[in-house]
Amino acid sequence: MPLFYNLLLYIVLSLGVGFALRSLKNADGSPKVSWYMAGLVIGLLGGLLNVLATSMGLSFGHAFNLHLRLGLLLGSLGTGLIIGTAIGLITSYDMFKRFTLIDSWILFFKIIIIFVVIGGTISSLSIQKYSLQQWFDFFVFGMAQGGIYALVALGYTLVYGILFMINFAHGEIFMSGAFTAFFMANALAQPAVKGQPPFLNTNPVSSLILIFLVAITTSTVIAVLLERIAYRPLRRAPRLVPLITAIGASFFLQYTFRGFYGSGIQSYPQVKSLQGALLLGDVVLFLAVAGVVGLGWLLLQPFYNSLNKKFPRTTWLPPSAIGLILIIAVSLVYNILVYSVEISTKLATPMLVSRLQFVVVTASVLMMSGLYLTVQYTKIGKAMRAVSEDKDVAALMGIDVDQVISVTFGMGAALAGAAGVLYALIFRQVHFFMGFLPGLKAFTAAVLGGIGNVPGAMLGGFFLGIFESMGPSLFLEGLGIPTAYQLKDVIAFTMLVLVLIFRPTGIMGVELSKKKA
Amino acid sequence: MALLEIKEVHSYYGAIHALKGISLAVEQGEIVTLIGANGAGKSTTLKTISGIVRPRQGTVCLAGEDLARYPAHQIVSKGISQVPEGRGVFSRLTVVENLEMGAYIHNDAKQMAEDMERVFAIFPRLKERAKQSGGTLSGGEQQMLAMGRALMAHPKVLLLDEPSMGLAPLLVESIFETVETINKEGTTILLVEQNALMALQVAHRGYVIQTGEIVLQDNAAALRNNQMVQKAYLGMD
Repeated sequence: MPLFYNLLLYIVLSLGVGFALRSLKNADGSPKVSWYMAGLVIGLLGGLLNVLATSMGLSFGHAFNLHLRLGLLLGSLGTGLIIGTAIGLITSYDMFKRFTLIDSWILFFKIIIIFVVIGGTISSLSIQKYSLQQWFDFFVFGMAQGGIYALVALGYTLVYGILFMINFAHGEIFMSGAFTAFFMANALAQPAVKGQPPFLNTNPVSSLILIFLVAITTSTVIAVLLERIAYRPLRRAPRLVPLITAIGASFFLQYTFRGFYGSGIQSYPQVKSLQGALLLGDVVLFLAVAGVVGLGWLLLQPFYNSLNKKFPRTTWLPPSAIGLILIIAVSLVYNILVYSVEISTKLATPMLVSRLQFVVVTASVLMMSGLYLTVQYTKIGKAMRAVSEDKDVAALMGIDVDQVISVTFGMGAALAGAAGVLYALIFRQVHFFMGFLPGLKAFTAAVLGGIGNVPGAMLGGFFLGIFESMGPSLFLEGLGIPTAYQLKDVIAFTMLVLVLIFRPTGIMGVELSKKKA
Repeated sequence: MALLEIKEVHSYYGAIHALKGISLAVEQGEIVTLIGANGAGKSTTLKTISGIVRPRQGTVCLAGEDLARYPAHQIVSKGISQVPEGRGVFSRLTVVENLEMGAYIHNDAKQMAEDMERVFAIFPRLKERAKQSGGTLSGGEQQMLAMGRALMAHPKVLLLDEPSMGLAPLLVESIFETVETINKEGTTILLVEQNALMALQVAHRGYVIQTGEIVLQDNAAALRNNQMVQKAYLGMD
């Protein structure tokens, strides 16, 4: 109840003061106060009113547990200032523009969301239920999960970009790869000779490559067949028809897999060498080295080109050799740094990163970059972009449109298959229905980033993954909701609704032309 | 034998009978123009040749080979390039990428670089805009890009659909000059135009199309002096 009263305070305050300040006008009709000044005034008033209410013992001044750290008065002043200013800025920014009844309804939503998000964050951080390491774990887990979402989301976005249809069977393609690869993984996890360690543990890299190959092949073949059999005949049909077909195909795949492999949950074997944790310092160094090598490579290219132009007859080392030298030099520096970091981390409590999750994030980022470079720089990638703009003109260029569409489905499916294995490595189980929820989440991620937009899908995936992993503990735990983590799906899909209300084109999306919409 | 020969072609858009038995021929090295009013079937004729629209009857032959059995993307490699109506520039691809798409059927990188230099020599403006995306170009530059892109495929016959559409008069003239240059370098051209005056100035021969049928054919000079053409398409009394 105090929460509700407090929310009421902010709503009345921001709407009332915002409206009053807006009506103050100069002689020439321009407003006297700019919107950000109005926002700051509302914030200040919010802080003061909060303190007043708490000191009078009213339930209006909720301090969101900040009083546990700062004392009652300072705590309520702080929360009042932070929440009040945020709400004030948003309301006055909206109100000082053209303001209608519908705007006020949306504004109402915005105020509640800001209240819950900021208040919840202050509260969760104040009770200090989780240590820094735990917050960090949430973040890394969110990254890993987000990488998987992003890989699947790319499939949605690629197909949408080229056919303007949403392939709802994509979640099942994700499942098919992971499920089929389970048998490979299981076989590799059995010891060949009794008493000997299994192949999976002795040769983790080559067995992982085998598992990935099986998953990628299965899902690619299924997706290409699906497109050929179920979608291509409907290419010229009204848009609703392929959509319904996709839902049908999704059920078809689910129950086919149930028929073949049973409805039980199979547990994926553990990869021994992916267990355990890495030191955060090492991971940071790894990223730094990767960044330096990547940047160095980019910077070297023009330098190399100019050298070639200036001295055409000298044979210079190829850029790859220069890159190699660079890597060796950097790894020397790296080793020295690692040594010093190890010493320093022994002194304080070192931060840890799960080895498995680190590998998942790295693998997904690598695959995504591969896809991005393919779409951007190869002949087939350019043809894909051409087909997505205009199929008839693309055909006039000699591009086989059907072939390009098949390749697009195949690429999306390959990423989904790989994502399936990563998912199974983290959650360690597969079953015939496992594609449904991740598929839906990845679709959400694609919409979040702006469907049809390749970098948008990557961003949307990571965004959703991190939000889903940190959101419950960060926003909801402090509000006194007992099992906040159960609500992670609520957070994910609330995000979808919010994005659709406030930015229908997605984070990186652009207005679709009439032709596409 | 004519290089490009169309005989008794009937094409449909759904139930609409768009071409009712068109026959025309283009000789090696010629510029032939097809003039007519809106909706007469000019663009449909070009689309039928390039395979976007399938003829229900009749034959489209390039150097004696019937094209009707090939899908649109294979007709390009037979030697026919079309500059579509409204230019059809890929607006999110850069100028260079657009030109690369034009050479999609060829795999020789060295040849492609040479071709691109050739296109840049014809249209120096495109070189200045090489890294810009197609959508940011002006109408005239887009027309140049579309023509350059079609040339990248080394066509035997170039089909031009309304190159003057929506361009300022000065630009129209320079576009038609380029059409003549391209023709002199050895490309046969079939030109569809509403701007009959300009078209008949550059063309050697012309056909007049009305509601899906060829009603008149002659060499360009004769068509310019034809009373019916003057009245209907040149705006003279």
